[in-house]
Amino acid sequence: MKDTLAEHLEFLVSRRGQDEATVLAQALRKGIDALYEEALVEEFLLGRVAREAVLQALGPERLDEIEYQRNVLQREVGWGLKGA
Amino acid sequence: MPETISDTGPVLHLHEIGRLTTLATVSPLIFPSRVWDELRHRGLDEAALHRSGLSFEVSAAIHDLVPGPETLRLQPADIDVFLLAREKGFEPLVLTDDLALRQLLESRGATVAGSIGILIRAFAVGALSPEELATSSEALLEESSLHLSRAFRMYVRKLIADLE
Repeated sequence: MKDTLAEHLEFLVSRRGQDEATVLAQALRKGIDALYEEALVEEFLLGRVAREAVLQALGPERLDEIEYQRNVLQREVGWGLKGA
Repeated sequence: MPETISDTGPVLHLHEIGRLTTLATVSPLIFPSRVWDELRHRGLDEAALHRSGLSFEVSAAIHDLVPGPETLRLQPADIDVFLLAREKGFEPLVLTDDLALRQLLESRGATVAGSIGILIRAFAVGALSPEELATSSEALLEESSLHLSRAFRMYVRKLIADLE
């Protein structure tokens, strides 16, 4: 199946019964939210945003996931250096 | 010689960036048969591993082991890695880049390492120069099939840069 953005947009407009502008506004919002979360996590990991800000914005479960993955990477480094 | 049980990910990812030899620091490897099947399906064979100085064996015995409910979130090959580690009392080092499998193994006391840890260990023992570590880790992040979000790729770059 050959999918393009235009075909996806047409599908959404027809199936949801919403006009194109409404679907595009929703898409923009979802896209910005995703990019914001990605940027916030990056800034947190690099020590430029406080933990509290991530907790407020993304909630405790997502923060737990982020901190677990960060701790895994820190342990990777620690384990690797033990070989020295 | 300590045993190392390996999942598909680390071997595949290091193969993709031409750094299979870094696994020599944890060789010999034990692959559950479904992991070995996945590796062969992705183009790795016995000769490639031997050319990289790696010794390994394929363990088929896990088909007799019974998975518990804790393995429900895992893929079949990951379940086999867990079962083999459990069979050996979680004593061997386990290689995986799968977070769910890692979490389960660590909750049972196993030591777990992934592709990034293997590269750093190779650097620590002098098998990779600082420049080779930098280029290899960059290739791992950008060219291999290891999945990390942009945020975590940036974080790994910072961790690697802090080593220098």
